[in-house]
Amino acid sequence: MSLRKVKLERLLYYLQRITGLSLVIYLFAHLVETSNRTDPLKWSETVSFLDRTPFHLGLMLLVMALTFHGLNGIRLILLENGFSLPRPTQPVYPYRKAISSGIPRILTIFLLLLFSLVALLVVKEFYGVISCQRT
Amino acid sequence: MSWEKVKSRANEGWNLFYFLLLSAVMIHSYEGVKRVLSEYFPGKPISRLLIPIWVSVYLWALIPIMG
Repeated sequence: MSLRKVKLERLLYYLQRITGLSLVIYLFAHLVETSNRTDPLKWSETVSFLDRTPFHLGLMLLVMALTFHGLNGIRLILLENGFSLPRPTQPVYPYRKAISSGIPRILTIFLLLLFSLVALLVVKEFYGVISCQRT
Repeated sequence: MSWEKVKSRANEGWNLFYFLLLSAVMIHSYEGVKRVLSEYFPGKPISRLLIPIWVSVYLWALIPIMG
């Protein structure tokens, strides 16, 4: 499979799956982490263990994955329910993909812009935490 | 999050919120994983494998919320 041939919507489909499965893995790890919340000693040990750069980096990637998965999920819900799709036409060759043009494409670009904005804010926050740790 | 903050959230309001959030996330993740696995292993009894895992994790995660 050549990367140049992969369409934007197809790429979003793969990313939706990758982020979804990553979030499931994180969910189980998070449940293990928060199960210590009944014991103060265990909780402080857990918090001090997690206060390291690799975990902060993981948290940054997690927020990005969560944002992407949520925003793309909203886009998929809208498309699945027929919002923003054009009126159906006769299938005449060469076939036109309704999803790759018009309002659905604008929706996709809006999603990517919003995701980029959140990603920038998350990276800024991450560098803030890292610089606080170093000083 | 400090221990004081964790302790301050150990009340009925937050527990109800955590319970609803956990339930929604567990159902959504189960459906998602089932859909992905069903595509790669068509015809296989995916639910029979996933339901015991998800139910046991869900019940185990409920202990700190309810306790």
